[in-house]
Amino acid sequence: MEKDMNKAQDDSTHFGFKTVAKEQKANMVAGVFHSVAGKYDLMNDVMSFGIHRLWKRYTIDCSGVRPGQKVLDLAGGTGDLAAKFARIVGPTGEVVLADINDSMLRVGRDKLRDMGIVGNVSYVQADAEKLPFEDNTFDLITIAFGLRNVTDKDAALRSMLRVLKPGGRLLVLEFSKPEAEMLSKAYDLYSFHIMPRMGEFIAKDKDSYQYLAESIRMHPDQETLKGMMTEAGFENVEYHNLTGGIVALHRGFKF
Amino acid sequence: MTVMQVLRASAERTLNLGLANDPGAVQRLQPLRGKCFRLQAKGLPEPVTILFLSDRVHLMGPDYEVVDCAVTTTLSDLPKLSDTSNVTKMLQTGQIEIVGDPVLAQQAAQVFLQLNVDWEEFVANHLGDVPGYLVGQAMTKIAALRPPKGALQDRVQAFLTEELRVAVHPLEKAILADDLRDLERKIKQLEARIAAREQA
Repeated sequence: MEKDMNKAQDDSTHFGFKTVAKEQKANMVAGVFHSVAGKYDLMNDVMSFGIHRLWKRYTIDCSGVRPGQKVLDLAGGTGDLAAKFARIVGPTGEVVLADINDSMLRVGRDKLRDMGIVGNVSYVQADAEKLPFEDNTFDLITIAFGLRNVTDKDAALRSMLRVLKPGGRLLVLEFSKPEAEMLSKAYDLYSFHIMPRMGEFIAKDKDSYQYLAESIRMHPDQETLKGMMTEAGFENVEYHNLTGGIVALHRGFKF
Repeated sequence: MTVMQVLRASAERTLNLGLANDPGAVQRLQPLRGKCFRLQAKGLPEPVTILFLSDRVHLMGPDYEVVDCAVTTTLSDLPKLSDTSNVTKMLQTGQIEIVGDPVLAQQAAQVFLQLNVDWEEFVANHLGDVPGYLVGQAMTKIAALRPPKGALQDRVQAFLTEELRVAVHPLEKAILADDLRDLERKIKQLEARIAAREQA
């Protein structure tokens, strides 16, 4: 009986506050992102009051990326980070924009092409848990607001470590746990009551933004994620809280 | 940190707007492509870190660690750097410290010091050809009115010495000095003759 319960737990995962079978989650997350892809950038700006741009700027500051390097922007969505990295690495470097969701990837590809960013960017539909790249390929891997949607985060982190070159670094930008209790309460109020309504009003999709709020709560906090990265094999893992811990940037190296 | 990031993002946007409307900017940016320059001016809350790209710049934060040239100076000494002849003297006196490639520092300064925005084109792109033409004409007139470098100093000097006469003309000063030297010589001669008479 206990063995059956353990097996059921092993085969299940979270989809927001719901518990679902592991094989179901990827499809359910895909459904969310197929639904929001068209208005993803607009909603990001509205819901974060534009602050997501500053979080991404800080991620670039911490990237140490140089011309000629190879960058993987995983769960890259609509390509905000990939666009910046493509300009920095220049024609001798390469940026791979990867996302499991083809709708997001298509929006990102169109956006970058409209910005005139072509030639050193390639687009790959890939599952973070089983990255389709050779070992020791990338100098830098970033995953911004994507890790919480991955079903098996430990497997994804191990896969990232595998494709990272020795000396390379992984940057994980993700929602986290606010440091102050007051901020945490205000943030809860905003994310569970205001955000889904904004999603309903602007993107005509309340459920997807309800999932977004729930998935943020279910995501590991700063210390837990740091432990997971260390466990996966990353070294010198550290994190920096942004906007009072609403978001945290984790950085780890492969040596 | 957020305030600084907002300021940095705004400054980057302004600089890139200027560079995009300067026909010579791409050429000046060419040798700096992919290079990073950091200016640490004592008095500023954080260093200014500029990553040069092919047609624009990216202002990085203090956490960006790959810098090709870093210049440390004070806020008051910063304007002196616009004159390259000052740099050697400032290095010797310790007013400025350069780590990395000094040529890169000069090239980085030239990107902004030689910024020459085509205002006519800029306004025409946003408001139309007629306002662009009018702004272009106005800018040309303003440029014609602006005296060349050093002329303003000459005009102020002439006004003070010849119009207001509150200051002495350098020539008058030289004549007065000659007269004083002559008078001094005559006094010495007179003193010598008096002394000679007294002894006799």
